[in-house]
Amino acid sequence: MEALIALAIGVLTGCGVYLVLRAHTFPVVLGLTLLSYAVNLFLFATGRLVIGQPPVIGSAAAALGQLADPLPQALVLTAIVIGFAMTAFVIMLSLRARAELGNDHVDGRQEGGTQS
Amino acid sequence: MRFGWLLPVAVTVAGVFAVAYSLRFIHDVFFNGEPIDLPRTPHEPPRWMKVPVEILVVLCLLVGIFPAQTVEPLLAVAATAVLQGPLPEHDLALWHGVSPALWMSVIALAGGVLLYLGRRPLYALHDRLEGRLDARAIFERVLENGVLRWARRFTAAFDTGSLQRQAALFIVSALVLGGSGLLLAPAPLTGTRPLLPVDGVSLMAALALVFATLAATALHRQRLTALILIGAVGLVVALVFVKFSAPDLALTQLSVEVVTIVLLLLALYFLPQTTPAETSESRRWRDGAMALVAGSGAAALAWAVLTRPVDSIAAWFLANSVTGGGGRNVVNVILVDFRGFDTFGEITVLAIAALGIFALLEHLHLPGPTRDFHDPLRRAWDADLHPVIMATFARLLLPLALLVSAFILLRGHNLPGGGFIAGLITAIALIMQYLANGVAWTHARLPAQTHPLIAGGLLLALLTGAASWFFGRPFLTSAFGHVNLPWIGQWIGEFELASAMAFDLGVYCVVVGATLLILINLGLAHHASHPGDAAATEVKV
Amino acid sequence: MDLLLAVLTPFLGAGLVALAARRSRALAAWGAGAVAALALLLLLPAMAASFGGATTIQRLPWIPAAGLDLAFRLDGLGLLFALLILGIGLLVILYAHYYLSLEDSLGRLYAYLLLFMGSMLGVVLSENLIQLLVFWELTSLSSFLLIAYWRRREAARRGARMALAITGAGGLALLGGFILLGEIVGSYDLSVVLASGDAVRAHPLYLPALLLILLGAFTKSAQFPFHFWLPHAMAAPTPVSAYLHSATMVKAGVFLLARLFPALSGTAEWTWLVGGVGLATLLIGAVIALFKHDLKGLLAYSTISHLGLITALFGIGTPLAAVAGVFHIINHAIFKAGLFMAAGIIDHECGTRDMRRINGLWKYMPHTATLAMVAAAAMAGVPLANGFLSRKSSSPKPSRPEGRCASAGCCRWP
Repeated sequence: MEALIALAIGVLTGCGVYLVLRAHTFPVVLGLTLLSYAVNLFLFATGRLVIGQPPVIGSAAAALGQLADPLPQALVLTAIVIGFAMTAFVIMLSLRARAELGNDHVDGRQEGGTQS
Repeated sequence: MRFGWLLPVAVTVAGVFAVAYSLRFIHDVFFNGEPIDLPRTPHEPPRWMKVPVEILVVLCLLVGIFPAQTVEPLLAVAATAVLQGPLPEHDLALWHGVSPALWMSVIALAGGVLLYLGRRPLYALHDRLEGRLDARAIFERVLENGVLRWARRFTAAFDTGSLQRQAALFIVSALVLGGSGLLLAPAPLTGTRPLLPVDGVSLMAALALVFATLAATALHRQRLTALILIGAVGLVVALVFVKFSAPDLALTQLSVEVVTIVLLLLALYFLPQTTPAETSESRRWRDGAMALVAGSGAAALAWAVLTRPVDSIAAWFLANSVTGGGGRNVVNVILVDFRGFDTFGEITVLAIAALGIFALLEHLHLPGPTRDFHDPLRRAWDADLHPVIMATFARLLLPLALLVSAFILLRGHNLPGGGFIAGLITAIALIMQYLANGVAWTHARLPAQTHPLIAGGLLLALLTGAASWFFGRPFLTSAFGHVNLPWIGQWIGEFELASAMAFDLGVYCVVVGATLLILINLGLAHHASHPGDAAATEVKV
Repeated sequence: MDLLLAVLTPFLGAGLVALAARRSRALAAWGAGAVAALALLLLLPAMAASFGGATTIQRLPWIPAAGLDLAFRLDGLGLLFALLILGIGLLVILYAHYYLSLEDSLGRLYAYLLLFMGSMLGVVLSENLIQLLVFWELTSLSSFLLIAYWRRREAARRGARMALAITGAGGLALLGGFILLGEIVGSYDLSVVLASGDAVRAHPLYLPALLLILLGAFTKSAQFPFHFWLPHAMAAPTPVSAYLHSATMVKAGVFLLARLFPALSGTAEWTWLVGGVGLATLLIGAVIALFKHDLKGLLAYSTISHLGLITALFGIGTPLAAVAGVFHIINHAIFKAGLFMAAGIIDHECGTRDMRRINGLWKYMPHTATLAMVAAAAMAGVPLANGFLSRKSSSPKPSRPEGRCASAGCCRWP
C-alpha cells in the first residue's frame, strides 16, 4: 500500500513539474493544482497510513495510540483551503494578464517571439 | 577625568552660537527694517492658533522662575526612574550667587552678542563654502548609486522577467539540493515499518489516479479534457483520504474540488480556447527529464518516510483533546484550539487572497468568446442559458444544502466537520444558484455582501481569541461547556458550546465570504464583458 | 489593562478621526483632541501612582511559550514622556486645525498624528524590549507618513525617504543590540535588564551591544554624523515639526539613553562614545544653525545642538549629569515646540520662511512677536548657565551641597 501512495505522489509531482514549466497560463495552473495534490498527500503521509481509525475519540473502539495522527491532517486541511485560494489567485492573475497583455503566455510574450 | 575641561568649554562655545542664532531669530524676524517682497501682508493669526504657543511660553516662564514649585516633583520622579536609585542632591534655584556657571553664562551672552554683530564676514565666508559638503547630496548618491543600483544589478542577474526560466531555475535548485541530500544520506531507503497489504480496490484507485494524471499531462493542450481529468485526480485524492482515516480531509478535498473545477471552467471561458504547441522540442525533453527526476525523487522520499516508524507528538493531542479542548474530533480541536493561531493566520491569508482577487478583477474587461463560436466539432453554443430542470433543482436543494452545512458546522467539534468544510458547503450551495439561475437573477435575490462577511469573520475570530485576555489567559485559550438543545438535540446530540465554536464560526464566515467573492466576481466579469445580458453590469459585489 | 488601552486608544482613534473628517474639520479636531484626552485619562491612575514613586507594570500573556508578552510599564520616566507626548500632542492638535489650509486633508494629518502618538506612547511605556522596538519602528513609519504629508512636493518625499532610511537602519541596529542585550541578561524585560547592569557591563558582548543600541539612539535623535535627516524632515507641515521633530520623536533616542542608563552607563566606552558624539553634535548643530536663512532650518539645527547637549549630559554618566539631562529634555520640549509653532504662524502669515525677506514683523504681529521672543530667549539661555557642569568638571565631589543643576534654567533672561 505504501508503494502505491509513493507512486501516486511521484507521478503527481512529476506531471505537476512538467506542467508548471509550460509556456501558457492554463497548463501552469493545472500543474500547480497537481503539485498541491502531491504536497498535500505527502504531508498527510508523514502521519503514516492507518486504515479505519479516524482521529475521533470514542468512535472507534481502538486505544488512543492506534488512531491516525491528527496533526498532519489538521495541517493538510488548512493547506487544501489555502491551496484553493492560491489556485484562484493564480487564475485571476492569468486572466488579468490576458486582459492587459492580450495573450496567455506566462511571460506576456506572443508566441513566435523570443524563445529563450 | 582628564578631559574634564572639555565639556564646559564646548558648552560655552555652543552657548555663544546659541545666543547668536537666537538673537538673529529675534532681530532678523521682528526688527531689522521692513519686510521684503512678501507674498501677503502679515497680521496676527486667529486667536486660537496662538493659544498653544501662549501655554508653552507661560510654562517656560513658570519653570524658569519658580522651578522648585513647578517642575521639581516631575523631575524628581523621572530622574529617580532613570537612575533606578537615590537622587543626587540638586538645587533648581534661579540665583546661586556668583559661581563659575554664572561666568560661563556671561561669556556666552557677551560672545553671542559680539558674534551676531560681526556676522557679515562670517556669512560671506559661509556663502563661499556652501555646497562643498552637502549631506543630502552624499546621502542620495550613496542610496542611488550604491544601494539601489547594486540591488537592481543583483536582481537583474537573477530575474530576466521570464517565468519559465525562473521556474526552471527554482526546480533545478530544489532537485540538486534535495537529490544530494537523498543520495548522500547513509541510511537505507526502505525503513523497518511493517507494510500494509494491497487490496484490489486500492490498486484500481491508484492506477486510476496515475492514469488520469498522466493523461491530463499528455492532453494538456486540449484544455477541457485536461480539466475533467484533473477533476478525476482530485476525486481519487479524496478517496485516499477516506481510505486512510481522514474523513475531515476527504470532505474538505471533495468540496474544494467542486469549487476549483467551477472556477477553472469559468476561467477557461475567458482564456484562449486552445494551447498552441510548444515551439521547441528540446525544451520539452528538458522539462520531461526534470519532471522525471522530480517525480522519482518525490516518490523515493515518500517511500522512505512511509516505511519508517514514526515518533509523533500525536499522543499529546489525542490525550488532551477532550479535557483541554472539549471536543472529540481531534483534527478540529487542533484547528480551532491547540493551533488556533495557525488557523487564524490561515483565514487571514484566505481573506487577503480574496481581496487581492477582487482588486485584480476590478475594471477587468475580458474578451470572452463570441456566441457564434463553434468548438472543433462545429457544435454551436446551447441557446438555453439556464436549463429549467437544473434551475428548479438548484432552488430546491438550497435549503437542504444550507441545513447540511449548519449541521456539519455544529458537529465539527466532535465528529468530522467544522468551519472550513461547512463554509465550503455553503459556498457551493450558493454557487449552484449562480450556475443554475445566472448571476443577475441570483444577485438580485441574495443581498449578502461578501466583504463585510469576510471582515466580520476575521473580527469574530480575533475577538474570540482576544476575549481570553479578559479572563487573564493567553490569546486563543478556549473555554467550553456542554449544551443539549431541547428539540433538535435528539438529532445532533449533545454538543459542546466552546468558545472555539465562535472561532469556528469566524472561520466559516471567512471561507464562505472568500469563496463567494472569488467566484461571483469572476461571474460578474463575465457579465460585464457581455453588456447584452440583463442589468448585471450595475451589480457589484 | 489601562496602559494597553491607553496605547491602543490613539491607534483606534486614528481610524475614527479619519472618518469624522469627512463630516467636518471641526469634528475631526474635537475627535482627535478627545482621543488624546482619553488616553491621558486612562493613564491617570498609573501616573498618580508613579508620583508616589511606584512603578506600574502590566503584563498580558501573548505567546508565553516563546517568552513574548505584551508588557507595559509606567514609572517616572514613562510618566514624563507620556505627559510630553499627550500634553504637547493636544496643543499640536489644536494648532494644526488652524495651520492647515482648507485644501489639505485634516483627517489624514490627524490620523497620522494619532498613529504617531500611539507608537510613541508604546515606546515610552514598553516593558518588553522587543515590544519597544516594534513601537520604535512604528514611530519611524508614522514619521515617514507625516513628513511626506504634502506628497506632491518632491522635497517632502525625499525628506521622508531619507528620514525613513536613516531611522529605519538605526532600528535594525537597535534590534541587533536588543537581541544581544537579551542574550546577555537572559530576558527582554526591562526590569530585569535594568537590575543587571553590572552583569551587562562585565559581559564580553557589552561593546557590540552598546554600539548597536547607540546606533539606534543616535540615528533617531539626529546625532552627528546622522544629524542630516532632521533638517530635511522640515518639509513636513509645521505642527508635525513642532511635535515630532522637536518635542517627541527625536527625543526617543535620548529616551533610550535615559532608559538604559542604569544598564549600560558607567564605562569608559559609554563616556567616550555618548559624551563625544553628544559634544560634537552640540557644537556642529550650534554653528550651522547660525547660518541657516530658513526659519525652520535654524530651529532644526538648534534642535540637533540641544539634543547633542542632552546626549553629552547622559554621556558624562554621573547621576547629577543625568538629572540635568532629564531636566533639559523637559525644557527643550517646551520652548522648542513653542518656537516651532511661532515659526509656523510666521510662515502662515508671510508665505515664506526666508529670514532675509521677513523683517520687522513687530509692527504687524506684536503679540506673536512677544511670545516668540520669550521662547527664543529660553533657547539662548539654556546652554549657558551650566552651573552643575563646571562644578562637576572642577570638583571631584559632585554631590557637594552647593552642587547645582541650574544647567537648564529655562528662562534665564539674557
